[in-house]
Amino acid sequence: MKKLVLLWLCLLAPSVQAAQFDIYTPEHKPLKLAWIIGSDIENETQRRIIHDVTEQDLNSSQSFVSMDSLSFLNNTSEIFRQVVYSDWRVIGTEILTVARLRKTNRGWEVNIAVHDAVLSQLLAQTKLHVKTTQARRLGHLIADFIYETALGVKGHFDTHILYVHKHGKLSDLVYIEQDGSKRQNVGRNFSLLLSPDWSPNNQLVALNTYVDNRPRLETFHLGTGKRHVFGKFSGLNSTPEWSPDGKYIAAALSYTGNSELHLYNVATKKWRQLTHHWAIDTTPTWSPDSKMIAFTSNRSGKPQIHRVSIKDGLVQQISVVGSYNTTPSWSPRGDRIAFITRKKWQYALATMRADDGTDVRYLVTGGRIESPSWSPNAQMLLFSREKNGLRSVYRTPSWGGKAQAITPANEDASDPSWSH
Amino acid sequence: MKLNNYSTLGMALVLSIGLVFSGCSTTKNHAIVDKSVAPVVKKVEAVTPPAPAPVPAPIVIAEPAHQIYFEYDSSTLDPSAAAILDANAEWLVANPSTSIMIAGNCDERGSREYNLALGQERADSVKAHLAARGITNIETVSFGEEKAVCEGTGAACWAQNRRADITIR
Repeated sequence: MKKLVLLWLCLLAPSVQAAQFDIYTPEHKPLKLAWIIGSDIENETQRRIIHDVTEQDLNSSQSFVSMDSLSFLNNTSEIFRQVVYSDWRVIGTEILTVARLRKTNRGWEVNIAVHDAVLSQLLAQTKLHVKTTQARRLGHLIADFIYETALGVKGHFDTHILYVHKHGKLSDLVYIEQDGSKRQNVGRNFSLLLSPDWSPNNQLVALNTYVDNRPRLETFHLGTGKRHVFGKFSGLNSTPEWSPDGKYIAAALSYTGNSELHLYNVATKKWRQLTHHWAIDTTPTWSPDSKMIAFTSNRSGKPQIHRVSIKDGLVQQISVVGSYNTTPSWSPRGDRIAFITRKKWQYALATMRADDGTDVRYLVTGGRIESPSWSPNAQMLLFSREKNGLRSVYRTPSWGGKAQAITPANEDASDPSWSH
Repeated sequence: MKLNNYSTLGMALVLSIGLVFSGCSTTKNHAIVDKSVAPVVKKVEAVTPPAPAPVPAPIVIAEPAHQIYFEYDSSTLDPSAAAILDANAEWLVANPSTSIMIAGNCDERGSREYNLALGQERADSVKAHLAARGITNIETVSFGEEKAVCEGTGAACWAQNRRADITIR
């Protein structure tokens, strides 16, 4: 019997892979939020929708945790009459938000007040309006107001996400709200579709597609669906990335003999070569001031993250930890770069300091992780993960936390890109 | 649709030689890589052959392999790949009107975008070897890991996907 157990252990041992990454655990704890919105009884349906959208948004950020209304000591009419801070402190409330919804001739209107229950003070109040058809959007706008008031950082809830849905040999471009709702196929049946990237004004998408088995770079107008080819060179035409100032689109082209970074001037419609090296240079990502580009290059022998100055073309290696680092995405705040790293065939989404590649934080591991993309406020990251042959898009706080899928479980979804 | 290769071209040549003797013509067989586009192969017009003519002996056409395989994260041609390409070069010199497409591919490991560049490097490496032997009319493309021939996982499957395909255009 002992021999059998030993044999079983020996057989089991090689299949158990050691975890390669210490996942970063934030010290931060979410703020306890009491969220109350009242309305006349005839508007109860919309009140509930708005309440739930706001609550789900704030919980999804992992910066807040909403409290159960059953724990509240005051009923709604008492809350609207007077805020008694001690009644909220005693149940552990940190942020109290009270709002009242009204229907007007113009649509929905909400009066909202955000209180710090710990300091016993009103932090901010405002009035928000939307059209009658935009109740869900009002929920996002309220979440943005609470988020910014409590944390001092602009919210990311009234934003959108694009991703690629591959079905058979064809791919669609899909548009959703940041919480995964209101899914629309905005571009259908591309023969291959890779690396969509929003223009700074959120009207156009730069993308890499193939026609007659030849790759090309196109812009796609989200309002009209109009496609325009701006790169069709021999060889590689890949990884388009808009500069934050809107003047350029960087991409990897190989017509010069190998994969180099090139810049497309949107105004003059002319290209110029930015990097000059025999190695692979690809996946450009811009610094927020549009003065630098970080990119993947194997010029040191293995893929590593480098950066190049737009002004003088000087290149420096940034990533210093690990031997396979790819797909950088520069934070809109500028201080960090997200990337995909690999150790012994395990992948992780990580971030590092943008200036010297130190302070690496491994955020998520497990499955094939790809395509990081930041929320416009730099608080969240999107990525795709393949498990059992199916890819899904996930989001996770950029400072550490749980990853949550935002695309349907039965749908292949990849190449996420967050609007600006 | 399976990619056309030299074996289909060889069959087309044998067929066309046979048809010359029966007074018919045929079109050149096109290699179509785009799986969304139907192959353009015109049907041969059916005619009643006259009295049976003597059938010539089948012509044997040297048929080089049309797939080159690579090591992981490498576009270096090993001696066996170089030998296959030399045979291809010889065949292409003998068929100077032929133009070819080289498609570089990768296994699923690593970043998709990096693999797209690596696939291009593989295709370019094959092109450079053929160009050095006097072959022109070469187009290259990379599909990275997007067009795997083996959809599964594991070393044997990955090895099949780290390849460059040579097809007749």
